[in-house]
Amino acid sequence: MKRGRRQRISGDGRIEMLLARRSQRRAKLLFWVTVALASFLGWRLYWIQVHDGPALAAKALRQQSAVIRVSAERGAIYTSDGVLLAHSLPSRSVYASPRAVVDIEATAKAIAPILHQTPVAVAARIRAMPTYHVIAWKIPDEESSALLRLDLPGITVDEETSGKRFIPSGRLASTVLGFVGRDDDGLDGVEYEFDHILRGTEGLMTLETDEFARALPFAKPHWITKPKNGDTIVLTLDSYLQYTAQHVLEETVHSFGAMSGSAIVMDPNNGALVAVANVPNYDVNAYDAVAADARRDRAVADAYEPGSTFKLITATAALESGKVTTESRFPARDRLEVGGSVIHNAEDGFMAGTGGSERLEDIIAYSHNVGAAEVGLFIGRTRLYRMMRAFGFGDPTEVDLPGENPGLLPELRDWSATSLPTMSFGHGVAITPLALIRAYCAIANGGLLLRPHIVSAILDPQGHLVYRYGREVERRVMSQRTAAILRGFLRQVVLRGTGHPTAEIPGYTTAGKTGTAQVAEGGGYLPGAYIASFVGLVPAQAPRFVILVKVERPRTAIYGSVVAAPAFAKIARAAMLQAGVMPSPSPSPSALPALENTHRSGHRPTLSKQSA
Amino acid sequence: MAVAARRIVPLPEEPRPAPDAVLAGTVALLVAVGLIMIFSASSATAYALHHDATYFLKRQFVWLAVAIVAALFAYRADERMLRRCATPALALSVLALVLVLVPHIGIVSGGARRWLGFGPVSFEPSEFAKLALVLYLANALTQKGERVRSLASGIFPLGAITALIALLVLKEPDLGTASLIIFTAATMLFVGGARLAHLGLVALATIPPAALIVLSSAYRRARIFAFIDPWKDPMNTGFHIVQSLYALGSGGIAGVGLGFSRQKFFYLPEQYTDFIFAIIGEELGLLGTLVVVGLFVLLAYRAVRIALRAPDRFGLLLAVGCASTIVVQAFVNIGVVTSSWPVTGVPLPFISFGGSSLVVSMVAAALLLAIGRRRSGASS
Repeated sequence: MKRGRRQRISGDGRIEMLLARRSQRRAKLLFWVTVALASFLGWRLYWIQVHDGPALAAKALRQQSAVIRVSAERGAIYTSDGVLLAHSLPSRSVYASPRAVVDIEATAKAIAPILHQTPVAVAARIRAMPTYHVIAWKIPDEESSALLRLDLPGITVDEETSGKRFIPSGRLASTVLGFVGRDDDGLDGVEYEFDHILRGTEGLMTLETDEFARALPFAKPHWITKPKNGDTIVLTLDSYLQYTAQHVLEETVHSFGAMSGSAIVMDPNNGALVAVANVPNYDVNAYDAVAADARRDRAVADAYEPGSTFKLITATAALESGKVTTESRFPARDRLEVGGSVIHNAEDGFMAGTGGSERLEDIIAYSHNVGAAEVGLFIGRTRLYRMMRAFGFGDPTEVDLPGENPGLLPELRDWSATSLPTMSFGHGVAITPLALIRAYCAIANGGLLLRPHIVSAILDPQGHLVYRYGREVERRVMSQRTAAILRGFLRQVVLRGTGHPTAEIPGYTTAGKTGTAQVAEGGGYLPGAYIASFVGLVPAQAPRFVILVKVERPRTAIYGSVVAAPAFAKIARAAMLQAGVMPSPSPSPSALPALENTHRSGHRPTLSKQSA
Repeated sequence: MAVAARRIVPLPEEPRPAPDAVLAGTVALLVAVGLIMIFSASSATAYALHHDATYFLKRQFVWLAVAIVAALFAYRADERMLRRCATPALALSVLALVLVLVPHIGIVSGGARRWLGFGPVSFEPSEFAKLALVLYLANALTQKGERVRSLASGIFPLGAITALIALLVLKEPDLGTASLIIFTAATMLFVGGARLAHLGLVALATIPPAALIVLSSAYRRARIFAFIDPWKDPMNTGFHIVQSLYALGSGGIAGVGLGFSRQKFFYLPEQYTDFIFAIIGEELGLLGTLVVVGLFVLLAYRAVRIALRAPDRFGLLLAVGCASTIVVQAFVNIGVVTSSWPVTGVPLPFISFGGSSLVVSMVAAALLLAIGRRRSGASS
C-alpha cells in the first residue's frame, strides 16, 4: 500500500523534490540575507552608539539639563536674648504643565475656589506658558493640601526650602522688624535695612529634568554656584523688655483713649536699643491686611515738637556756656511777652508766681516755660543753636533702621523773634523720639552722644560670629560735670517736681522729665490735641536704662506726668528686675500719699504755646 | 543502549522530536527583555497618567497570558486543520479589515482607524491579517506547486490578494504594517519558487503606486525621507529620529544602566511601544542592542533550520512565513530607530508594549515550534 502509493506519485514526487530543493535553497539564501541585514544594523548601532555616541550624548544632555536657580535660605532674626523673631519656612507653590493638563477649563474650575480666584483667571494662568510654570506663589498649607487631594494631572505643588517668612511672636517688635514680600525681599524695618545680609546669594545648578523641566527622580545636581544662605541677625532688643514696653504702651494708649504712642528703652552706655515699641502695631504674618500707617515705626519716622523734655537741651547749652551755673537765678514769673507773643507757664500746680527768682534746677523741676525762655534769651541764640546741632537735632541719628526722619531744626537765619524763647522749651523744633532719647543717653552716660543701634551682631548660617556692633561715639556734647548736674536736675523732677510721684518706683531711684506739647500741624497747633511724654533714667545715678514714653493725643488726660510717667515707671521697674537689680529696702518717698493727680488732670492751657 | 533496544524491538512509530528548546528559549528571552524594558520605559508615563508605575507592565502581563493561550492553541493545531482554515481565516481578516474602516466600528487612535474593540478589549485586525496571509500563502503555494512559476495562475492571483490586504491596511492608514505585509509575502513567494523575473516585475509595479502615496503630500514626503537627514528639521519631521538617536548615543557601549534612561521622561515619543529599542540602547548600551539583534538572528537561524527539516513544502513555507513576520518586523523597527529606514510605526516583536503584536508574534513562534516537531511520513 505504502510502496504502491509512492510509485504512483513518483512523477509528481520528482517535481515535488525539485520544488522543495529550490525552496530550501532560497530559504538558506534568505537566512544569509538576514545575517547581512543584521550586520548592517549592527554596524549602524556601533556607529550611532560608539562612534557618534559622545557627541549625541552631549546634545542629549543639553536637552535634558535645565539651569535652575536655587534660592538661598533667608537668615533668621533673633533678639539679644536668643528669642526667634523671624525665620523662613519651606514654601509651596502651584505649578502647571499645560500639556499634561487633560481639560484646562475643568481643571481651572476645580482649583479656582481653593486659590480664591476665578476659573477664568486660573485658566489664563495655566495657559500663560506652554511649559512647566508657576500659577500660584507660596500658597498656605491648607490650600496646598486641598490641591494635593484633588490630584489633577498637570497640576503639581512644589516645595522650596525657603520662601515663607514666619514670625512666631506675630506682633512683638513688628514695627521694627518689618516684613518680607512675596519674592523674599525685605520691604520694611530690619528686614529691609539688612536685606543684603539676610537674603544670601542665589545658587545656580544644572539638573537633569524631564521634557516639562521637572527634576528626574535620580537626577544629581551639578552646582555652578552653590547658594549661600543668608546670615542671621541678632538684634539689641530684649524680648522681655520689648514685650513689657509694648504691653505697657498699649495699655496706656488705650486707657487714655490716645491715638498712638511710642516707647523706647535704650542702653545709654553702648547705644543699644533694648526695646522699641509702637502703637498701633500689627501681626507681621498678615502684613498685607493692615494699613501702611499701622506698620510705621513711629519712634524713628515721626518727628514732633517735643515740648518740655527739650528744656534739658537749653539747660545743657546754659551750663556749657559758662554763663549759667547751678546757682544762677532767673526772675520767677508765669507770663512773658516776647516778640509780640505771650508765653505762659502751665496751670499745673507748679506755677512760678511773681516777684521771686528761681534757679535752673527749679525751672527744670517745675517745668517752667517762662523760665526756660529766659534762660534761652540769656545765653543767646547761637549757643542754643550750636548745642541743638551738637545733640544731632536736624540730622538723622544714623540708626540702622529705615525711614528715619531727621527732624526739623530751622537754620539760624530763618529764626524769628519768637524762635529763641519758644525753642528753649521745645517748640518750633521737630525731632523724633529716637533723637530725643539719644540726647538723654548723653546726659546719662556723662556727655557722649552715641549712635543708636538695633543690631548687635551678625552670625553666619552656622552660627559663627561675623560682626559685632560695639559702642559708636559720635562726639562729646557736654562735660561729665554738666551731665552729672543735669542728672541731678532730672532727679529733682521726680523727687519734688512734675514727675513726683508718678515717675517714682519703690526701691529704685529714677530721674526724668515730663513733656506736654501741642500737636503742630500745617503751621499751627491743633486745639485740644496734645502729646504727653516722659523721658527718664534708671537708676538716677549711673543709669543703666534710658526710657522714653510718648503718647499722642490722649483724651482723658493730657499731661506727661499723668499719661506717660506711670508707663515709664512700669517699664523702668521691669528693666531693673530684668537686669537683675533688686529693689533696695530703703523707704521711698512714693510711700507718701499722692496728692497731685486730682488737680493736675482736667486743666487746659489757655494759650497756644504751652508746655508742662 | 537505545540503539540496541531499537534493533531488538522496532517501535511502531518514530518518536516525535522534542520541541526546539533553543527557539523556545530565544522567544522566552525576548519576552523577558520586553517585560523588563516595558516597565522601565513606561514607568514615567504610567506614573504621570495613572499614578501607577506598573500600569502598562500589568497590562502587558495580561496580554502575555492571552498570547500564551493563543500560542498553545496554535502549537496543538494539526496541519490539516491549519490548511483547511487558511482560506476562511483570510476571508475573515479581509472582513475585519473592511469593518475597521467603517466609522463607529473601527476605533480611532492617534489619527488612524486601526482597532476593533469588544468592550475593554481591542485588537488590530491588520496584525491578524498578516498571519492569515502567511497561512494562506503557505497553503496556496503548496497547492500550486510548479504553477507558481506561471505569471497568470501563480504570482498574479497571489500578488493580487496580497495587494488587497495591503491596500486595506494602508487605508487605515497604517503604512508600516502594509509594508510588512508586502515584505513578508515577497519572502514567501520567493521561497515558494516564484520566478525572480516575476518578482522583479511585481516590485517594479509597486513603485508607481507607492511613489504616488508617498509623494502625494509634502508632509508625508518630509516625514518619510526624514531618516536620511533627521537634523534638517529636528523639532518637526526629524523629531522622533533625533530623540531616538539621542537615546542610543547616550547609551554608548555599556548603557546608562537599567532604569536610568533620561529620554523616557517624555523626550522620546512612543518610548515603550515603537521606540522601545532606543531605550534599550540608552539603558543597556551597544551590548544590549547587539544582544537583541543577535536574538532575532538566532530566531531566524532556528526557523530556517526548522524550515529545512520540515516534512513537506507547506511546513517549510509556513516556517519561512512565520519567521519573516517576526524578523522583517524586527529589522524594520530597528531600522527606524537607527535612522536606517523611514519612520513607519511598527512595534518590535515580543518586546514593544501592545497586545495584538505580542499575540501574533507568539502564535507565529508557536507555529514554528509545532512545525519543528513534525516528522516526514508522520502525517501525509
